[in-house]
Amino acid sequence: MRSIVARFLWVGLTAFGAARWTTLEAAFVRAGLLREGDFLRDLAIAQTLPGAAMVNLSALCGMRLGGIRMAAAGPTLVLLPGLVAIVAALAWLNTADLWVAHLLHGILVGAVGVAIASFWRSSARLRGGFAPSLAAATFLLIALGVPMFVAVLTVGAVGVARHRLAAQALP
Amino acid sequence: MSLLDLALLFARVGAVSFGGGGSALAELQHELVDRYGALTQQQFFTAYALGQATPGPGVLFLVPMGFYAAGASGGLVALVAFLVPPLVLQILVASQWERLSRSAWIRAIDRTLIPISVGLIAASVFTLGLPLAGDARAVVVMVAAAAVSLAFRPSPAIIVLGVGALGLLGFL
Repeated sequence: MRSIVARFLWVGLTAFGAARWTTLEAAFVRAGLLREGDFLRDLAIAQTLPGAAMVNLSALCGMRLGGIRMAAAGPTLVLLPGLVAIVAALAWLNTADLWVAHLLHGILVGAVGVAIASFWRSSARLRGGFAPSLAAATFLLIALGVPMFVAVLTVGAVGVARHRLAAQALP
Repeated sequence: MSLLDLALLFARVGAVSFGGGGSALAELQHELVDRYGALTQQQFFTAYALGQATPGPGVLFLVPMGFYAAGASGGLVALVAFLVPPLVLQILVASQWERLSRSAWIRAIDRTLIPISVGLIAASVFTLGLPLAGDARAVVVMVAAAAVSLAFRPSPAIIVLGVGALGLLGFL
């Protein structure tokens, strides 16, 4: 049990940027604590349902490793190192200091660059004409100030209806 | 902004965000900065930058956002309200997944959510990138960071902290 706790903390300490779930895979699948098939199934659930995918996946891994207690402990442990760092930053960093402002501005510019790359990669996965249309519609609705909840439900309803009709039309 | 308003807002946004949490940024900016005025634009950017500079799940920017909006308890409320309802849903669905995954409806939802996530990421990039668009040096570095990320696939931490160091040294 102590080893599992340490592994979750290590994941929280070393996960950065996109595809953070790979650190969970390294900690539990490659270590032989979880089967790859189970992990991939949990990954699909975590990415399909709402919420933060890595936090959700930590809960599902924890569930397999130690039941409901570990399902609660997993996300907490994964969040803990970053949480300590961010609380310390809020307590001791004065964002009015010039060097802090410059540092945070640089981090923001870098983070937006990484986000652009992430958008580029994920949009390359969209095939045909319909999927890019759904992405564009979501973007436009949000950019026009439509609440995200309404935008997701509206575009989601159109997409699901279309896919269901297409599936029914198949022989 | 009251803690109840904060909890309801973050729970609502958490219920329709997918992936790393970055997809929620456009909505959070609209609500926290434009609608409630609970955060300044600068505080919103600071919160996101702090979240990116720390390890762990990519949603830790929620803590400084909640903190700036409603104090220390606001940070905790924002994080819990955003994360816990979807977590409970995950565990419930996971226990029924074998049966649910055979449903044509679930497959249709799955195929629809991917383009929606891409649209949400685009909206977040737009929200974060637009205010930087007037700063030529920032735009060049931003595009270079994206190009390096696409071409060499280094750890995003190297890019984020590297560009942070450029900022610290006064190049931005």
